[in-house]
Amino acid sequence: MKIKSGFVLRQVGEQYAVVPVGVQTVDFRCVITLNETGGFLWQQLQEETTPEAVAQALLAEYEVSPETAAADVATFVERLRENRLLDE
Amino acid sequence: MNKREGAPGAVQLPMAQLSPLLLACLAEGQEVVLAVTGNSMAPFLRHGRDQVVLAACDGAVLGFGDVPLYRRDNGQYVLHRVVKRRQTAGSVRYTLLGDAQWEMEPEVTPEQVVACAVGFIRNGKRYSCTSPWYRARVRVWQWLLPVRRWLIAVYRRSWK
Repeated sequence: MKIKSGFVLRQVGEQYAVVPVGVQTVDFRCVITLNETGGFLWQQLQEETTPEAVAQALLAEYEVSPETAAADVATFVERLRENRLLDE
Repeated sequence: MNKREGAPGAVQLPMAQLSPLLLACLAEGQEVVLAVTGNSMAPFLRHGRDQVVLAACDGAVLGFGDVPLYRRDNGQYVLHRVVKRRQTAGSVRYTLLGDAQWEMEPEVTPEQVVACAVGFIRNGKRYSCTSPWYRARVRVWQWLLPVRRWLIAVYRRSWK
């Protein structure tokens, strides 16, 4: 799986925002904001990968238990899927 | 003042944090839609009702009726209307005034201008800021400046 093309992740202070690219009008009411972890997960998912590999990367970067990492990735992926942001 | 929640998923970031994102989009040549906050541009732009469409103005000289987003020296971002322009050799200064205000803000420099309103969105429909009808209403509103404080006092009752 991977995140659909057409978006760019930008750092905004301590947060991240996802903005569509190549569109003429960006509606800031629809801009997705992510916290630091969300930004990290988004970056991991920009290349073709699996939930397991993303959870591994999360474990390497943050001090969390494997269960928490797997659950967090699953939640994030589910949110992306709901919003049709994933190519599977 | 009537404070309504932003649209679902609205960016709840202060303008100072939002501005790098805004500038990046404008630099890409994209237009940016922002929810209007505050009622200083009423009756033309209302908090909770309208969104403004901004575009980069790339150093274009603004004139009467244009609505720039500009940065005050204290870092605050404001969207008000140009009511006067003073042009001397090599320098331009704008006088800004909110449509619901009567205290002018003079000596705003082109360097402070971040973007310019090209349109606005009300009830999902987009309107242009360059249409003759819009420009005519702006001009009439300016003629009414001597009695604006009373007009606004009456108008305020309808938005409470």
